[in-house]
Amino acid sequence: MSGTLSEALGLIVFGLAIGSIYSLVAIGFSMIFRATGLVHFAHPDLMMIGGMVGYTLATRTGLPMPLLFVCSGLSVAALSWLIDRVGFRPIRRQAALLNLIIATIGWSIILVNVALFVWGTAPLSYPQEYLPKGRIIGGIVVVPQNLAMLGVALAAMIALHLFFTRTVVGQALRATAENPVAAQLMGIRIERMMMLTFLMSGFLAGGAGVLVASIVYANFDLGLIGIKSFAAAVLGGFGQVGGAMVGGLVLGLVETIAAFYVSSAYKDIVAYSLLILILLVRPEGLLGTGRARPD
Amino acid sequence: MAIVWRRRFWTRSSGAIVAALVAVPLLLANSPYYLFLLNTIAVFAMLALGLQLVLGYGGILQLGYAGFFGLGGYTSAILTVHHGWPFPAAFVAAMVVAVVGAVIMSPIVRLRDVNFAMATFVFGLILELVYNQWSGMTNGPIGFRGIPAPTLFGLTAREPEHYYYLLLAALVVEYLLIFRLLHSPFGTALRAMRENETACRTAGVDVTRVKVTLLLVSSAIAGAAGSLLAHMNGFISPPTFGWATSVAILMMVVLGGVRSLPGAIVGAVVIRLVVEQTSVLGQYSNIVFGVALVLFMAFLPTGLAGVASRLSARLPAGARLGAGPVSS
Amino acid sequence: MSSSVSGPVLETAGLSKRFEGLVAVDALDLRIDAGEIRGVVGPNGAGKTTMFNLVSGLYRVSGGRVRLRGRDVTEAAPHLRAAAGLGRTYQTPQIFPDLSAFDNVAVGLGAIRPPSLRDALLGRRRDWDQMRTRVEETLDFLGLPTGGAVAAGSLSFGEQKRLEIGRALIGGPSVLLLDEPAAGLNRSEIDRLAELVQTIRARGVTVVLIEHNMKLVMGLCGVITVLDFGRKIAEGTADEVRRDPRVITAYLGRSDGARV
Repeated sequence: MSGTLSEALGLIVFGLAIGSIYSLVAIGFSMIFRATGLVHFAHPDLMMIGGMVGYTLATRTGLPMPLLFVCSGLSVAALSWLIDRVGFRPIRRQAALLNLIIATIGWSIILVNVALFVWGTAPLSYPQEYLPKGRIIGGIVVVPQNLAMLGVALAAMIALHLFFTRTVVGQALRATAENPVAAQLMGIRIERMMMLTFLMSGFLAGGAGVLVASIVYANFDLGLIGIKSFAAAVLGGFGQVGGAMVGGLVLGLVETIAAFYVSSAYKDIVAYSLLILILLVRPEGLLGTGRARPD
Repeated sequence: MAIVWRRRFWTRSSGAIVAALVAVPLLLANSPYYLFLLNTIAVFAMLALGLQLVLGYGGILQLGYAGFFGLGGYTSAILTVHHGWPFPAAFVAAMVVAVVGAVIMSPIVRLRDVNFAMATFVFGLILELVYNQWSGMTNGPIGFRGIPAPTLFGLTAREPEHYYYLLLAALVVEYLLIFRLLHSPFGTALRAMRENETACRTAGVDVTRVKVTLLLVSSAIAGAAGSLLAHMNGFISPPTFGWATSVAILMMVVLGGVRSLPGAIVGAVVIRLVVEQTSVLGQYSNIVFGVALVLFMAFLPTGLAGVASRLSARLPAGARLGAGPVSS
Repeated sequence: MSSSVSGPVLETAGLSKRFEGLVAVDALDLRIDAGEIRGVVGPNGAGKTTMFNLVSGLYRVSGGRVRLRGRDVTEAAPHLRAAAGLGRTYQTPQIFPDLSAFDNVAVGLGAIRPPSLRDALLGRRRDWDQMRTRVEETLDFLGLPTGGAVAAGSLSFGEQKRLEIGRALIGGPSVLLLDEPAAGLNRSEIDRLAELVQTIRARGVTVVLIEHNMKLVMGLCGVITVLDFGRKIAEGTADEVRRDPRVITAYLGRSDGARV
C-alpha cells in the first residue's frame, strides 16, 4: 500500500478512536440529560477520575487493559451514583434546574481538587505495556490500541443500542427519559431509573477515562478533554444518544485531520468553529430535534 | 407583582446610596489597596448586572459571558495600543465588537434552552481559545501589556480614585438603563415570557426578538466592562476571560438571587472578596469553594435576595426592603 | 374595526395536520365572514383545538393554507398573526399568574406596539400614558380590577377567563378565537359571557367559538361548523345542524355526554 493511503487510514482510525472516546462520554451526558434534564458539568471530571484510578490500578496490579476498563468503569459508576445520591437527589424536587446545574459545577471543582490531592499535579504516564505502539502488519503501520479503542467503543454502543431497544429495563429507561410522569403511572420506578442512568453513564465515563489516559496521560485536567465531549454531544444533537455517538466520531475525525493538516495548536479552534458553524446552520445539531416550536 | 412603567429611579434611598458611594474614596484616601479592590468589584458588578439581565430576567442560560468580556477588553487594548485610537472611541468599539459577537451567536436563540446553553458554553470556549492562540492579535497566553490609562475630556485617570469615579459612573448609568428597561412594556413582556412563552407569542410578543435584544444588551455591557478593566489594569490575559470567570459571574447572580438587581451587586461583592481571600486557605480553598457551592445550591436556592425578602416579610410594612426603588 | 375589504376575514383551505400517522385535521375548508359569531362544535378529539393551534400558528401545517383578511399567514409566526389581527384564548386560561391583571392585559399590547429597547429608553410619557389608559379601559370593560395589588393567579376562574379575553382584545383584533370560553363557568357567568360576546361582535370583532355547551352555541352563533375526526361533517344554522343525521350519529355514537 502506498505511504499516503496508509497514512490517511491511520489518521482515520485514530480520529475514529479518539472520536469514540468522546462518544462514550457524550453518550453519558446525553443519557443523564434525557433522564433528568440535568446538564452534568462534573461528568468530564468523572472521566478524569476514571483515568486516574486506571493509572493506580495499572501501576499497582498490572491488570490487562480490558479489566482496567471494567474496574475503572465500575468505580466511577459508583462515584457517579454517590454524587447523585448525596448531591442531587435530596434537592431534585424543590431546586430549580439552574441550581442543580451550578451544583454540578461545584462537584466538578471538588473532583478536580480531590484528584490534585491524591495524585498530585504532575502528569502521570501509564506503564509501558499499556501505551499505544505501532506494529507493521502487511506493510501498513497499525496501532492495535487505536483499533481496540474503536472496537471497545463500538461494542459499547452496540450493547447500549441493544439494551435500549431489546431489554425491558432499557425500554423502561427510555420511557422515563421521554415522559417521567407517564412512566411512573406505568409502574416504572423513576428513582431507580435515574440511579441506573447515573451508574451506566459513570461506567462509560470511567472506561473512557482509562482509554484516554493510556494514550495521553493521567492528570487532573483531563476533564478539559471531556469538555470536548460536550461539544460532541451538542454537535450531534444534545439529548440524543445516537447524536452523541455521531457527534463524538465526527469531532474526533475533524480534530485529528485538522491537527495533521492545519496545525496541532489550532485543532481545537477548528473543531469548535465547525461546531458553531453547524449549529448556526442547523441549531438543533446533526441529529437533534431541539426546536423551540413544537413539531 | 405589578410592574410600574417609568418607575422613579431617583428616590431618597437610591440617592442616599449613590451619595454614600461617592463619598467612599474620601474615607479610603490612605488605603489604595482597598480602593483598587473596590474598583475590581465595580467591574464585576457591571458584569453581574449584565448577566442578571439576560439570565435572571430573561431566563437565558448564557454560559459564555466572560468571552464577551474578553471581546471588549482585547478590542479596546488592540485599538489603543496598536492603532492609537483615543479611549472613548476604543470604548465604544469594544461594545460594538461584543455586540457583533452576540449577533453572530444569535441564530442559536431558536434552540430549546439547554441546547442554547451548551452552544453559549462552546462559544465561550472558542473565544477563550482564540485569545490564547491568536497571538498575532492578542499576544497569546503571555497577555497584553501597555494598555494606556483612559483619557476622557482631556483628563487622564491616574489614581485609583479617578478609576473609582469612572467605574461608579459607568455602573450607575448601567443600572439606570437596566432599571428603565425593566420598568417598561419591554419589562412586562419579559416577566410574562418567564411564565408562559406560548401565551406571549399568540398575544403578539416577538419572543425571539426580545431574547436577542437581551443578548445584545448584555454583550454590550460585558464589552464595556472589558474595556474598562483593560485600561484600568493596563494589562489583560486570556485566563480572565475564560470558563472560570464565566462561572464566577454566574455564581454572583445566583448568590444574589435571580431577578434582583441589588442582589447581583451584592453577589459580585461577596464572590470577589472570596476570590481575593482564597489564598488564605491555601490548598484547601478550592475544595471549600466547591463544597460551599454545592451546599449553597441545596440550601439557599433563592440566593441572598430570597433570604432578604423572607426576612423583610417579617418586618413592619414601613421598613420593608421591597418598598425601595431598586427591587423589581 | 370591521374589515373594509370584501371577502372572508378568516379562511382555511385544505387545512391538514398529521402527527406521526394520526390525522388530527383533515383537509378542512373554513370560511368565516366579518361580523359573524361562528360556532365550532364536535365530539372530543374532533380536532377543534388543533385547528385553532394551526390557525394561530402554534403548529406547523401538514397541508393547506390559512388566510387572514385575504393575507396568507400559513408560514407566519404566531406573533405576526396577532399583529395581523388574530386574537385567541385557550381551553385552560393561559394567564401569567404572578403578574397583576394590568400586566396580563398589557402583554397583549405587543400586537400593536412590539416591546422594544428603544421604546423603553426613549419612549415618551404620553405614549405610555395612552397605553396605560387603554389597558385600564379594557380591564373596566371586562369588570376586572385595575389596581396592581392582586396577582392574576388569585383571581377567580371566571375572572381569569375574562382576563385572557382582555389580553386578546387589547391588540385590536379582527378575529377572536375563543376555545371553550364557557367551560367551568356557572349559569350566571355563562349569561354574562354571552352578552360579552355580543358586545364584542358589535364592536366589529368577528368571533369564532369552540364550545361544548350547545345551548350557548345555538343561542349565540349564526353559523355552526361541526367537526368530527378532523373533518367538517356539517355546517349551517343551529336548526339545520341540529337535524343533520350525520351530526346526530357523531354525537350519539360517542359517549362524551354533549347536550344537543
